[in-house]
Amino acid sequence: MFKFTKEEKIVLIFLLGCLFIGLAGFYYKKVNPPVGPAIEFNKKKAESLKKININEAGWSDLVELDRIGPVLAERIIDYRAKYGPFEKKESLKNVKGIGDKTYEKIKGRITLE
Amino acid sequence: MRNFHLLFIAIVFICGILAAAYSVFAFLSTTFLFCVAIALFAFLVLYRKKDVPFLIFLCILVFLAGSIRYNIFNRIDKPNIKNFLPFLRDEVLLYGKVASDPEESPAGKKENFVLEAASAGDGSRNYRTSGFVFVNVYDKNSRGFKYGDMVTLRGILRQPFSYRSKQNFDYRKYLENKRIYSTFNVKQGSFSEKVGEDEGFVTRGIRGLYSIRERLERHINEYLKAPYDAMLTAILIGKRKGIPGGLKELFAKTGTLHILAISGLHVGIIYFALRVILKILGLPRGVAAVLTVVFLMCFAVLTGARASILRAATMFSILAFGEILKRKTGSFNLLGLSGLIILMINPNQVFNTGFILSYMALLSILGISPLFYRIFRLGNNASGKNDTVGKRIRRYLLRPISVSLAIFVGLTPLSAYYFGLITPVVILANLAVIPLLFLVMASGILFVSLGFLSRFLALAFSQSAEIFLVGLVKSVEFLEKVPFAYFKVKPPTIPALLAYYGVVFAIVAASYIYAMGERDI
Repeated sequence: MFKFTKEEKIVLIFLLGCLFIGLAGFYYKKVNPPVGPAIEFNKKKAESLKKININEAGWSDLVELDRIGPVLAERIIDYRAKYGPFEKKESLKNVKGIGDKTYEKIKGRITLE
Repeated sequence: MRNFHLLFIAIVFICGILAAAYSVFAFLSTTFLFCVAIALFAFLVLYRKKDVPFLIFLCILVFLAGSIRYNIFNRIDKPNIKNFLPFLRDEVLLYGKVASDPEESPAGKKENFVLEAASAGDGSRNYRTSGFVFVNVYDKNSRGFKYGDMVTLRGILRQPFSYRSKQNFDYRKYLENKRIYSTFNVKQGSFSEKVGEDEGFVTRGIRGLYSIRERLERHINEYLKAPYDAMLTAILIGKRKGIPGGLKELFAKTGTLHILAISGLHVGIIYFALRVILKILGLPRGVAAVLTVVFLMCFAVLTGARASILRAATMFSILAFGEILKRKTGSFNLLGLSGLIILMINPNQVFNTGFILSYMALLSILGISPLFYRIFRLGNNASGKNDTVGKRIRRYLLRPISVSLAIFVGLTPLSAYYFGLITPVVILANLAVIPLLFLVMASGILFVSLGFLSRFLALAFSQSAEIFLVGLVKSVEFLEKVPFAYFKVKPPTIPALLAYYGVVFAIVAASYIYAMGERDI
């Protein structure tokens, strides 16, 4: 039914050989990806992502958070002194002046560890 | 039977891809498959003089090639950003190259593009990464990037949501087929920064094509009013943003949505227009063929390299090369070879709706329409010199109806599966819409090519394009009102689809064998 002439067979063998050699090359590159250092981000931008430990951070670290100004930073420190370390991130909402909106804004930047 | 060799090889290759995709060989490593392939290749060479063993080894090798290609293409290497999802929670910095033309959502709420990630960091650690990320930019100040820009973005990395629509569309699977395993949202108030550009030759070429596309879009918007500007933009350069949803639905209900999406039909019109122009210019055949291929490939990239355009562009390119070599090729072989080339580059295309519909449409035209020619007793020849007027009119009317019927038979189950629609009116709709499309494209091509030289020419051709577009919309509006124009249906199951196509194939094959028998007599 599917008969190939002699020339067609030679071409098919050649093409298949090239195909498998190419696939082997691709496979080797995939299994051994180039190794190198990661790009260093701009220091300021990288620091803007650092998580702030709300149980240890001082006033100068707390004011770096969005919507946390000097007054709120003081209130957080006072709350910690009075009631002890925060057990959950959500406990920050117990601080006067920190509501749902402010919490939503900063929850990605805070940690308890 | 020589007309089916390459189509047969393409089908075997597809079976190999599907076997790998559905994890038939999950227990065998790719390295092992390579070893088996080497052994089989030795047998192929040893048995090259014997037809049956050669064919068997060839089939197994092509099948293995499909599986291996799929495995390699979809292999998630160690630095792939998908592997860093558990470590990169909350906001992170991402650096990479913009790997697609950014598009704004219809409501303008966000802009999205694909990013080829090179580095990611959470403030304390940076990771060298690879792979693609789908970026949604909600922040208005973070938009305006172009293809090839090297950017730093700040946002949240997530796995894509997995949901399945009624029409069998799975968003996460759709992105995975494009090798995108994560999304990145740049929220309002966040930041982004362009830090450079990829200076590679290919990137600069693609960026150049995209800027040509932008210029063409502005030119069209300047001369045509809505929604005809959006329609012409969709028909000529493949951008469908701006076409009202109601209009798209109208075309969908009459089965003519393919008119608004650049497909083989559009590429075919452009190919023949090019041939005419190059012939008039008197260029040597070889030069004309090379220019045709280069133009078609650039056009494919400019219009977004969709499956249907790639199919048509590769087929016409192969046809052009055939002209240089003075070799003819059968239509099925042409279809098979173009499928092989596309799947070799991107085996995931086999799951692409556009790819499936495009190839099924052409297979239907090539395979099923001769059956209808025989039913209508049209014969295979163009109109003979001695035909009566009545016979010629009958031939000119029934030929396109045969093609339309063939497409209806071939695509209806897929239309039901993907869109939940059956559109019987498409049989008549294509007869009205395709000649109008030709007129729209002719005026549109003249408008965009000559319109830059003279304002008068731009006005003249833009107005004629708009008139033909009005005609197109009015025809489709009329057809939508025809009784039983379309039906909404529940998508069929895969076994039902396979059974249907099995029956169609059996009828077509029987018809071919009968026709060959008649010829021998």
